[in-house]
Amino acid sequence: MGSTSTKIKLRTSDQKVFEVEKAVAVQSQTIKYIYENGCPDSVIHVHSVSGDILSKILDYCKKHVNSAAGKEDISPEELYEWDANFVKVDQNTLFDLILAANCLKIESLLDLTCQTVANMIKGKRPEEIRTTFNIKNDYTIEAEEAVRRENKWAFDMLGGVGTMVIEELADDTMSKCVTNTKSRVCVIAANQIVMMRSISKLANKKSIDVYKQPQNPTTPRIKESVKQRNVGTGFIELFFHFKCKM
Amino acid sequence: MGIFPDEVILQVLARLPVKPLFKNKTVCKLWYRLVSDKYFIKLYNEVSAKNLMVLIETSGSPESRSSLVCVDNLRGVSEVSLDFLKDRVKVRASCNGLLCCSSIPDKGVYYVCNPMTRDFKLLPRCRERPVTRFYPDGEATLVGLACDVSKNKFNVVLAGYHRTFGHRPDGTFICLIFDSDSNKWKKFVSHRDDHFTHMNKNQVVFVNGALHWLTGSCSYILALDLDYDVWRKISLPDEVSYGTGNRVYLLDSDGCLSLIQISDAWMNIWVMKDYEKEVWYMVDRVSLRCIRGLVPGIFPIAQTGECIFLATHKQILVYHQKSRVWKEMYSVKNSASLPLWFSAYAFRSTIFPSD
Repeated sequence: MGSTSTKIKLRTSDQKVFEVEKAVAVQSQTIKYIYENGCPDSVIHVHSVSGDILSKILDYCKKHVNSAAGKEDISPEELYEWDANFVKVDQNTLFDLILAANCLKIESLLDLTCQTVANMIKGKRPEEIRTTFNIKNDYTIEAEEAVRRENKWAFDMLGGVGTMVIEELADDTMSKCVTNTKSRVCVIAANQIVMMRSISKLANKKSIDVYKQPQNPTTPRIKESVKQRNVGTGFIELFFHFKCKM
Repeated sequence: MGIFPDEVILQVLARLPVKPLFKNKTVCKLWYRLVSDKYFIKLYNEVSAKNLMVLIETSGSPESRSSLVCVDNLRGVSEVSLDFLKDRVKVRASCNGLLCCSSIPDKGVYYVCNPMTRDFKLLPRCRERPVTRFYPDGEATLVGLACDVSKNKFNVVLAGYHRTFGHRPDGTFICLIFDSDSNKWKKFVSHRDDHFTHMNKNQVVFVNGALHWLTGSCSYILALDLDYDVWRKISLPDEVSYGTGNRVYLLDSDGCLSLIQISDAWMNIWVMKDYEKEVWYMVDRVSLRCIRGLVPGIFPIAQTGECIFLATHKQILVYHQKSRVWKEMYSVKNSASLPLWFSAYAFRSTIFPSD
């Protein structure tokens, strides 16, 4: 019976037809269900997905099927990188991918895209999130203020990876933090951001001596000295030495 | 109408760290309700179960007294503070995102808290009499926290040997169990003669409705069934019981009991995939060649099917099983502090409420 792999035909909302290997198409639980419970030769309609988006999704499924089956020699790290590049698309495309992954029930793609959106909104203020997701604010001003007060700790700029909090920026303060090389380092003193620097700017410099011009006359002028040490793959320890001049 | 259907919003929110999640309660009323919704809490916990973390109590500088270092596989290292407890505490157990801590100045006072949501519960006192030198039962030998996400409740277990003043322990094993549903302690007594090493006491595992501790002789695991208040023994694989010169540690691997056996050159990982039949499977055998120098002082702390966190005196390492790569996640320079493995606990970030 020497069959080549079975193919499944998919028709998109804009009437484009794709013919794909069954193993790739059934990454979608929805397509799998329709295929197994319907007529195997007929074309499956994926009404809610456009041709462009389906094409991208099929690329994703193919890559993952091939790597899992060993047909492609790709390490877990390389696949991770490939996935990271896959989601480097404009916001509309990303949102279309999420909706399609949700509709087609492709768990790993839904996980990847939702995580990407979560990372995107992590640092955003509630107003920005409302705009991004087109959500109406149904709080009254008093109610919103009450919720904000109730969860005050979540709004404080304390802690978190790569953030260093210093109570009092006196002369000769020393502090350190460990962070991953992809983030920024943020130094906070008395609940104000004193310094925010991207790690890539600090990398490869043994130490930095910078006089920071104060925006506020009462903020001390700070000379920062930064030493860094690699503490592991992707993580560095930054050791800060502040000298203040009032 | 928002861009995304509710189920997509849930999936996105389930992937946010706790702080931004709580900050987003002000976005709209639906999001406010979601964060306390039972289904969402369960979803959030399932997603976070894949992200393993380790919490370490550092004995460093005085200003970090009430803060813990949190090493996260995905996001790196951060500090978590327990200052919201307004007490100096020592972490005793960790389970499904909750910590059980005992007060340092006030013996016999225990808290159960979620360090991420800053939610906490002061447990009612469990002793009839305060600890004085005439009643030196002192701190419990075993402290266990069983946080049951599906039943939305937790239990705290304090177990120890009874010892009257001036006498040796007489084998009477007193077990106090706190139930968050009834908000009460109950007590039962049995007779045992096990002993436990420091790591045995730190590494308590809650799976299948029971708390488990490895015993000092490494010949069996002692399990406390919380439904029936019964102690029982679970035997170890023969190769582990009869292997000499091996160090054995009990961990939780994706909801199953797991034993990690460390010899000079190898690390064997056993998982009890079938709890009913008590059958152990060796799932991996890892060569310790690349960390040879660290082997005598290395202790496994946390594990999933994909990676294992281990601690030495000064470092936290993670081993990735698929790629067979070792990475250093965190290290301390100050050698005067206690070893990192001494107070390191497996942890994950959940939004499980403690009240």
